Amino acid sequence: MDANGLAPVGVPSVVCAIQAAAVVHATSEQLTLLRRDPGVPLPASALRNADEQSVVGLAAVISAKRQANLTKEQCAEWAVVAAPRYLGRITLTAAVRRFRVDGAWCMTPHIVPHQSQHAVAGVISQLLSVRGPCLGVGAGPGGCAEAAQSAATILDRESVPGVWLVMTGWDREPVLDEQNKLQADVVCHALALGLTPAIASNHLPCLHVRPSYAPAKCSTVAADRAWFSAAEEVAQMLSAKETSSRGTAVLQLADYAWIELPAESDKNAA
Amino acid sequence: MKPAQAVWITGVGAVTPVGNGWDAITANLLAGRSGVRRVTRFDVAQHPCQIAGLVEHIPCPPGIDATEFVSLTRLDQLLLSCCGAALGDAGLWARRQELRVGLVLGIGAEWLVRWETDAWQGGRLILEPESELESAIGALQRRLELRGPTVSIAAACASANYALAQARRWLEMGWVDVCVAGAGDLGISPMSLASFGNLRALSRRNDQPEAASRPFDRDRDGFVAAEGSAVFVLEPADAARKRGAHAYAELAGFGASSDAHHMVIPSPDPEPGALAVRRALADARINPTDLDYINAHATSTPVGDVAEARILHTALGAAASTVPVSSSKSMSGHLLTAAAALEALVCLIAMRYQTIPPTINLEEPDPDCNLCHIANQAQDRPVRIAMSNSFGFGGSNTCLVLRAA
Repeated sequence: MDANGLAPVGVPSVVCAIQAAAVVHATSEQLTLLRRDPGVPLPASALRNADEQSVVGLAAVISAKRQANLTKEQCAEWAVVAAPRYLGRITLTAAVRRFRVDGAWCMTPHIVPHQSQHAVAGVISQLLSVRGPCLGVGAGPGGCAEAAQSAATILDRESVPGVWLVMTGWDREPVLDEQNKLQADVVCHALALGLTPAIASNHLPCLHVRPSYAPAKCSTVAADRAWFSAAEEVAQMLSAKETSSRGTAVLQLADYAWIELPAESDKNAA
Repeated sequence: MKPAQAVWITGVGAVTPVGNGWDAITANLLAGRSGVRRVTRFDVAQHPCQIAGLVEHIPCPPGIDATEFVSLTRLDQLLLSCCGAALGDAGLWARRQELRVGLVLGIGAEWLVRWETDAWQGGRLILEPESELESAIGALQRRLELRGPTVSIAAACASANYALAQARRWLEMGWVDVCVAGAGDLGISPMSLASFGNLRALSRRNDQPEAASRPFDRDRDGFVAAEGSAVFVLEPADAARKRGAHAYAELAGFGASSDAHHMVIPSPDPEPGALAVRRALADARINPTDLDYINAHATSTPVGDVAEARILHTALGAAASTVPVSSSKSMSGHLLTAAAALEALVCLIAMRYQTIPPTINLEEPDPDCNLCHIANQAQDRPVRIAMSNSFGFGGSNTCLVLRAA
């Protein structure tokens, strides 16, 4: 066991180069705008029924792609691994209220395709023409660990050229009022990391992932937040082509994952 | 573990509309018995579809406190029942804490089910986000006292194939010694049945429940939703052989792709689905003519069954006309997130008994679904290699290959 008693010594980690990164935060007003224009031209109805977490997840991938100058063709065979948190709360709340009044015939048909756990990944795959494996992971607290481990597993054998690792959630969790309106002060977050097999010479930040042997009680929303601050730092670094402003070489995310930032000398070499 | 080393399935646990456990499921599927019934658990008078494949009883597995078991939610009971049974069947229940046991399960709509169930019971869980609840997979790991990585996967109907593939990779990567993998779904609720029904995806043959699921038949009118779970224990062949474990089969190949076409409707282009099939065959290092049986995804929808037939012809060429094909959904209904798990189990049954379960209700095959159907009655056939297709909402295409160990 390692010093934390969590992972047996010798268990290999998977190392993934971070080609692209972006974080998107959207208030309820901004969500309305993003739904119309997530960053690329889409048919008017493309996101009409999509969950808010799908909208910000898509916007994050679009932003990351753009900043890294990745083309549609370059990402066509990538996988999408998306971990929404507590997906469907808003839509289901409204649907329950309506079902109680109007019954089965008025039930929206969009619950299943757009509020199931695969929906965020499905929307990204469909609208950005990404044709590799496509799956949702996690569901509640701890979803970030599940997503990172799944993305690393898919990438490990280089069976796909890249993976979009997407994590989404609300801060704080939204609740609809009696008029089915969303509070103004909630924010929906998404991060997108474009991962490829690590190559020593590319001097990119690297995500290291290994299996988590931590007990399930360690999985909390608070623990997942470390991913968003780290992704924000990596995104700034990639867009500015700078090393970490904190002057540190490693961003520890959890017992199962950390991000290694390129050193100053690596940047110069790059 | 070396990447080339085989991974075996050494344990099975299942709770389904066509029975609980290996023996009951085998008997019903080989006899061609349907598990589809009229829904009586809640009022369906206003629902366009009033039938489903329902789980009647979820047994408490040996080693679990029965009092605690009955206090759990049905989803927690279902997953615990199947995982416990699978570990017991593999002979690993007593040893589970000595090993690094991973847990990879397809669970598609955990929170929707939990919130809706609570709402009908008068609860306000959906309106109380401050109550940060444990996920089903986390609770399951704790109750099973397992020590290893966990993940719940959702790719709609393709979920369990992804789960089995990820479990196999974790074994190959040396992340775990043993992995428990499969899927569970309890999606038959007032709102989900209404939502699927209003999507016009479900059969409306309410007066003939047992005849409603009729994949490849000219008169099919939609799928029949179902619930249940199937879970497997996977371990490296060497380790299993060393401890004298019984092998149901080798998990030999997996392939996946996405349509990137529509959130519900399958792509009219068969190529993305065919790519998943080709990738699975390549992963298993076999040719189309090596296949002895195909368990089709075939859900009984007018569009989906034709799309799958085209995928099979595109991927397999001439072999698509000669390899026996059946859809066990004709008997079980469509277990949604857990569908691929039950269908992997059906392949194991075909391999064990050298008998292919039939597609029941296949009275007049649709000419656009021109395949080598095993219609209405099980057939004795040699089955050494079986393939299972699962294509999900969101455009997920997956294919699994199982080979006799």
